Amino acid sequence: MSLPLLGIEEGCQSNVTSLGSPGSMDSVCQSTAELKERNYFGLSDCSSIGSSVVTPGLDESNVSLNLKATELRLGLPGSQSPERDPELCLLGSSQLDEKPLFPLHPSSDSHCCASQKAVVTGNKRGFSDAMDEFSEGNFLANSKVDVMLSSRPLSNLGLKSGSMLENLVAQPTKAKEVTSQKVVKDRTHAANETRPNPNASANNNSGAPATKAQVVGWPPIRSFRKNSLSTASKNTDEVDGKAGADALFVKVSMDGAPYLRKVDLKNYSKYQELSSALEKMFSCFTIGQCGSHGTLGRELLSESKLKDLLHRSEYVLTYEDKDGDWMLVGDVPWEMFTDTCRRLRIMKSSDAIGLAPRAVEKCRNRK
Amino acid sequence: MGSSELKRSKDSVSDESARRSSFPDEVLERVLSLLKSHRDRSSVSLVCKDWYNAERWSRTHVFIGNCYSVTPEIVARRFPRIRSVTLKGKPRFSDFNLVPENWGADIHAWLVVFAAKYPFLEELRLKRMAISDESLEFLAISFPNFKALSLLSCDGFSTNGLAAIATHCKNLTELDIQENGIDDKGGSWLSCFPERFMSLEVLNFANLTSDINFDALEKLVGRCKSMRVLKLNRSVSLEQLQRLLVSAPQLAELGTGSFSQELTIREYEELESTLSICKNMHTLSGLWDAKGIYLPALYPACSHLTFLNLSYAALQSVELAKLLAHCPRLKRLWVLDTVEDKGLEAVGLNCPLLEELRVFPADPFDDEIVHGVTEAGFVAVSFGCPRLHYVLYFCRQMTNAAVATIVQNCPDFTHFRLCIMNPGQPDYLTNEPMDEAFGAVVKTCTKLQRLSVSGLLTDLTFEYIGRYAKNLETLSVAFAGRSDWGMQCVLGGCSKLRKLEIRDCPFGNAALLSGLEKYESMRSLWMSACNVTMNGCRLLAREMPRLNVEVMKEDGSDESQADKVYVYRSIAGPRRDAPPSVLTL
Repeated sequence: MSLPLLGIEEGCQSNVTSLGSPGSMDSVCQSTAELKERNYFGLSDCSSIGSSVVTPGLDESNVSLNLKATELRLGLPGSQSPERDPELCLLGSSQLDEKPLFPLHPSSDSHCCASQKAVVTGNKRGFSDAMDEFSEGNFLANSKVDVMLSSRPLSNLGLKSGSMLENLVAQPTKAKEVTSQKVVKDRTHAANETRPNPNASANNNSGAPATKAQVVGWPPIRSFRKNSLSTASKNTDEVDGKAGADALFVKVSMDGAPYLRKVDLKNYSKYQELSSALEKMFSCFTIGQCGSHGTLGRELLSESKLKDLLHRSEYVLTYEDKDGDWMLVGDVPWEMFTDTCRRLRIMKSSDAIGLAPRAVEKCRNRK
Repeated sequence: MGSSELKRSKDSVSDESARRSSFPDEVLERVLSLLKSHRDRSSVSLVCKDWYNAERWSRTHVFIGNCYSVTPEIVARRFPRIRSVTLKGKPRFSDFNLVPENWGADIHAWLVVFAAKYPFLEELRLKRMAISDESLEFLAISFPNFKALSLLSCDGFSTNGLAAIATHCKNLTELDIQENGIDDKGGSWLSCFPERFMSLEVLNFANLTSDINFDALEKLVGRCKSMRVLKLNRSVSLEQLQRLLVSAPQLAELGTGSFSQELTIREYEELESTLSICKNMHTLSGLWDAKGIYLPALYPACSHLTFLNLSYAALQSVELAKLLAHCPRLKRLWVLDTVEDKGLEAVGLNCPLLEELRVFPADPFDDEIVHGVTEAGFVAVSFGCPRLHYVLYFCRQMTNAAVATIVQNCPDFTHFRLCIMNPGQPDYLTNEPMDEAFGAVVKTCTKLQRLSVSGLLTDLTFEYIGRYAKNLETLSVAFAGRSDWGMQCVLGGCSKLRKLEIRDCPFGNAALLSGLEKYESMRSLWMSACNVTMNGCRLLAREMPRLNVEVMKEDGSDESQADKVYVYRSIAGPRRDAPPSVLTL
């Protein structure tokens, strides 16, 4: 038998019927619906937010803060961020189970309500309080900020415990109060969740509307397993893509970018095309990074400047081949390249040579 | 026999020599040194003073279930000859992000004491402890005889710490890193094992994600002829696996790396033939991203398998069925619910000796698609596997009748952990609470030690538990119950209860305080998102000074509410390393 769809919308509505604060609920629903369309920068054209797997070679010290702050999971509702919507919607969803689908006896129905209500009201702020604040908060600010700003070390990010992060942590106190306490508290504590790659299974990446609200720590599955499973589904995608004749998707990472992208190598027939596509794809990152820290950044880097950067070898394009070696793109014929390329990395040439161009340096310092 | 003799001789003769001649201490110590179980040893130590002393001198392994129940100094004072330590730290719900950051359970203070008192320490096994790279390095340097390190569900360290262990522990036989919050900085740590190092018997780095230096690994495995457990991480390919197995056909436990590389026919055949010479293999795991078409390569290695861990391989029912046909001796099986009920039917058909089954959800947070396992799969297994005594089952629907059938078929359950993933979900056929299901479990399974309940549950479930689950030691409750009465039943009835963990239940102060007398006989109590208030906790702390009552409050919660409560007995007094978010009352 199929289980009820427990989308946010439905959850919201059933909450409305049982706990009656329709106005605030609607705005919550809207806000969450909005949330799913935006990415970290508030740009809606950057589609398919890719995985948040951090490649091992990522420049850790400079990027770590940004990466953390932009940890992908929050961008997508329904991604594996169980803290996203707290018991409010949980309550709704279980009520949803009980009401339309199961004709309950009146006695057990009221019992259920009582117990569930007791759970919520007994030890949390009033439900309507939480909802009011929820709707008022600036969602994008929340999403930027309420990501696991934890001081625990993350895999693949060379982060020691948290003095660096405390600055960031200080910022979002406002956001903390806005979102329900359980959500945020466990976000900041949920270092487990921040481990790379746990950005949802493939299902969620397709941009489907948020699935039901998730409760912190439920179902009780250890983080390692959760992370492994989400990577598993992504990997099978990748493997299947490579095996199929239709598409050849490879991951592309860029040093300093908060998330990775994927390109289909079959879309291009020569290096030049791939190169321009990547420039377009990643221009929003470089602009965004510097831009978010002030107008000066915008002046420094425009899309053309980025191209200049790439052409002046501020960045080098490298790829990992079947043997696991990192090679410079462009040496071998295109066909051979597509055969052997497993993933791409736009690397700072300073990493390779040891020189840092001033523009990029300034940008880095702003983070 | 021995004790009464000793008592008599103690009374009649006062000098040491006479006592020694009637029953020499050395003999007693020698006899007691054969006792391994720490519970037996605890019992022995209570017999009389001589036995207490003999026991403490002969004990070489100490198990501490809660690191805050005792201090390292106290341990060292009582047991002077320890060579192996097992320590557990954080409450179990920390695995699910319910415990605040920096909660504690740091190993370092222990290591400092051990370095002074147990310089010949050989083994350290930690679960849910915080351990830093500095601590790992300290460990590596301080104990020249150090042999075995096992870290399960720990955090705070990185691969640099592992490098320190590899570099300095010349006698290392075991390095077992499981499910930790590890900061994976790369695989170079593996290259830190010295060139002549060859004592490793157990190597488990499946937890790590980054690539390791395969050359170094291959040489290491080639050198360590006594290696019996090798669990690789996902970055190791099939081809590399085959090369490793060639040098280690004696392996008893194998965790493969990624099982999904594209192989040529020749490569596949090579893999198959290499696996066929692994006749000692009784445990197989890993199989990340396993491709069904390559599974047959495993068949020859499966004939003696007793433990098969497929919980990272999203297999379909048919693939599982075919594989299980080659595993007649299987006793323990872990799978993902991608195998569905049909796959579990195959389990019931092919594994008559099965004792343990764990079914994990592949998509725990996705409700939109109908998938996973149902009550039917569980029932099918129970018909085919009467010896089943340990189950962990994640599902999206269950019925009371199914559970009743299951325990009728398998009355020997010692561990019954059922997780109906939607909180508070009733029997989907009758819409009734799942009370009768768990009632059947506790009534029928008299040996039950561990129980996790889920679904829609009233206080009746807890009445049943209190009345019938007389051997129950660990109980996990979530989103269940109606009133204080439920928890009171459990505390009043389950005489052997040691660990009680509760979340999101309507149990309040009355329930909490009804266990006043009981908590000292338990290891710990966890209550989060219940109806307990600060006043209730303060009262508990006041009445029971030998309990540590810790409260963790959440931002923005009511002043009076005790959001998360952790109560445990301790002879160490309140701890001094609690972070600001943890209030000790």
